[in-house]
Amino acid sequence: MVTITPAGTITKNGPVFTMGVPSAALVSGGDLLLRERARPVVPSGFRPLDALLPAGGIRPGSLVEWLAEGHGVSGGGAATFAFAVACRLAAGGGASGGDQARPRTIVVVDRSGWFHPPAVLPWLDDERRLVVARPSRDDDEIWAIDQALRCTGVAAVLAWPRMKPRVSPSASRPAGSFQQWSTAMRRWQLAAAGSGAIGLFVRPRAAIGEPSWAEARIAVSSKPGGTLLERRLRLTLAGGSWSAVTGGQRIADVVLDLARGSVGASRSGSNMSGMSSGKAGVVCRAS
Amino acid sequence: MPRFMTIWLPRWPVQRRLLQKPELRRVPVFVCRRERRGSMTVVSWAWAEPPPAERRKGMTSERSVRATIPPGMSLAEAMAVLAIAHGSRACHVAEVQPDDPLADHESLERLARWCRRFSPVVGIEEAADGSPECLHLDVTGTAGFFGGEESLARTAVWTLAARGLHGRAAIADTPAAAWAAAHHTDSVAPPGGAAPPLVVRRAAGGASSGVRLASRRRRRWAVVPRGEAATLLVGLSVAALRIDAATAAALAEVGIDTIGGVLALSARSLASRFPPLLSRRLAEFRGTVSEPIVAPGGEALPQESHSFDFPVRTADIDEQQLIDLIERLLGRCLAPLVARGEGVLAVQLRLEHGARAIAVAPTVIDVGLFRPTASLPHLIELVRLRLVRRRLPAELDGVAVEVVAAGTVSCRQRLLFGGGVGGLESADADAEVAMLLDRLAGRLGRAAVFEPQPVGDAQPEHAWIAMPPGINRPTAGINRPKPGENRPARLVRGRESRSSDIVRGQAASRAVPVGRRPIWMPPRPVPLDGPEGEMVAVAPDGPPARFRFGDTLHHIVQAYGPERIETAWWRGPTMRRDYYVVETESGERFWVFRRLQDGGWFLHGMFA
Repeated sequence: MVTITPAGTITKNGPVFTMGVPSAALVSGGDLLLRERARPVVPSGFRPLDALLPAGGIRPGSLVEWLAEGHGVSGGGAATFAFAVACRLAAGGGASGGDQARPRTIVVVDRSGWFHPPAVLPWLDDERRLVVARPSRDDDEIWAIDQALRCTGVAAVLAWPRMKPRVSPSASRPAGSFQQWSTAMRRWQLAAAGSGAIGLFVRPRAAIGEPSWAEARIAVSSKPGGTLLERRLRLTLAGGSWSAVTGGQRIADVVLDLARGSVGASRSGSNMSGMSSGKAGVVCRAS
Repeated sequence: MPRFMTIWLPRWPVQRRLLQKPELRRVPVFVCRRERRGSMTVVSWAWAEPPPAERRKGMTSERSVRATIPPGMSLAEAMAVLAIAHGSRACHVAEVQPDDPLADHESLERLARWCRRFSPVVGIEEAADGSPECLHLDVTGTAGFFGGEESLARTAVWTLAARGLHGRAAIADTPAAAWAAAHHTDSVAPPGGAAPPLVVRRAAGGASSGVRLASRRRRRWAVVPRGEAATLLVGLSVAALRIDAATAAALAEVGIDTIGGVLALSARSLASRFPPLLSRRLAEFRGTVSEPIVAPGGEALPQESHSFDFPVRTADIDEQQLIDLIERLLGRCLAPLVARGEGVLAVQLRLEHGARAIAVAPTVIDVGLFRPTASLPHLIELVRLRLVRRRLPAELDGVAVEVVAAGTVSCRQRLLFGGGVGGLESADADAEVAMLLDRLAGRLGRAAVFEPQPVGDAQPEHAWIAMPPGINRPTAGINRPKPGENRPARLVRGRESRSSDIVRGQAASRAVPVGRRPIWMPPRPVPLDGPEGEMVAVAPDGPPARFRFGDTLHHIVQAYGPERIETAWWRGPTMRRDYYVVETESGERFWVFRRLQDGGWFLHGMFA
């Protein structure tokens, strides 16, 4: 067990001197990891994805970033996959053995106005509810995401902040000042942590260089093959606050069933997940 | 001299229903009364959004409405007329709804209360047949707040339009004259304009005015200057005097068909030859007999106001102080509602200012909710959200709070030892979401927050509609597979040709083909022959092979399709497209189509 003392001395056998700091305030990395592990997680419905995530699932009240290919205006499948995960998160904890029912509302904050609901409406059943908000200004968008994440009745918030999918690629550079969005993201993280809602953000791959408050940043790239109703996607754990402690593999392949998304709580556990190609056994180990 | 504004809401029974169910705008809607022998009589009808082809031919719905189906016609006859004018398909999609005069009247009362922003005295017209469509407002002296009478009438029309209502407004010396002018706003010239009233000119024999009338845009408001009602409105038909058909026929027999003709008759001969109704209407028109404005009855919704002893400068008053004051007023409004088990559904906040010094219209803040609430903190938060985004004027004279609509609050019993039952928790979550929606709608606008619902329209752009949240989902579940039902996956590689159009009920089940619709769709298809994109290679009459989008060249390795989507002839400009879901060598998927008329390629979505 490695312990970091305030003096910066790293020893193998616990703290040597504490310099006035009560030893209870010192937490070892492994302890912290175990403590975080003990907190409940919501399965994402995709077993390879759960294996990638440091906590073994998505923790309520956290943010997850999905990094799409290119400058965002692509057919890479990140938004579709993120919505499928949102659907699963809104499915309720009953199927996954959780002791409390998850809220069932999904909020999509669609600043660009490009969201086309018929693609995902068949995935919703009568239990889930999809609400779309279309802010027309950047600060309205930040506020709307914040409000939605603050609401305890919301299961997941899906948004593509700073992404204005314009038709001409030259015009689709991220908008807004860097600082403003970094602050906004911190606001969202605090809002989510207070309510237990989960924020799913689709962002361009170029955003990898920016600091992020997301628990996990997952790059989604599509793979050729598959059929009309099945998409093959490769997920790469590209960063996030917890990625550093993950020692396992960082790449997993999933197959997304477009016919059902993640609909059907009884089926989804067996049907949807576990379809990865040979890497289903990805295990993340503590250091 | 008093001044009156009349707001006419043509075909109110239909308009009211369209407001509640926006999806009915695309089909002809008939409101019918069931007669004693079982036959149906049309009370009112409208087709808000007829197919574009009809519009192009110049047959706007209104004109065909006026030309074809008068109220009182039997439904069978009306259907026949509709079929002749718009084709038999229109009859199949037509929506027939039973008459409900009580609900019509109630919703008109609600609107009358809402119209108090224009004048404190608002009444509903007394219609002979019991289905009023007009509101009378006493605007004596209030027009100055809105920048003049012309501006007031225009504001009224456009504010109604923002609520989704089609209205016409006119201001005149008497309610009767305003009523007549509101029904013929086209024919009344703008005040101060050089052109004399068109109808007058036509009545005087001018032949050219008719052409100009046709080419001119329809005016939806009119102002009859003081004392000029008799001269300006003489050209209108006698029906504008609100007389019954028998009297109009009697007048037509002696060759009188305009108001001018009636005015020319001597009062004595009028009284002896025609029913007394005509004399009364004429007196009301001239203003010799005053017409009372009947304020809407029913149970009054609470309203509270507070006026300061002297105007308070906005700089002197803290925002929190203002909120506190509003909170006190709102609390007093809520108390009687809560006692009845009701909650607020819409509340209007008026900040009155400058009434003594400069004429300024009050700042009106309308707060609408998706479901009734009795929670004062929630209401105050909504008010605060709206208030901070408004620029308040320099001085404040008073604050008025009025509950515009109320509804029954669903109560639930709490468990003594907290939670435990899933149903209670989900009800809690629902309440939280409802509050979130109110907040979002308060800042983003009510149109910007919605729940998408699928509709059975083949054209991808129109395959869904935005429903206001909180309303029971009418189409929900139609095109969703039932839990036990396994929807067969349709993988089509051959020619799949299907034309479908306005379909309802069961037919809507083919609304959303699974896996074939992109999650991102640009507002309009991107042509693949310009700077934004280009189709590089394509198999003859087959799928595309290579295309450039932006600065990336995509090689297509697989194409699913074609899925042919066409709209039928009765929808207007024909849309015929062959859609392909294409997968590039990197696995990205796009949705492209070939326009069959000219073979042009377009990009219509990304499976992002």
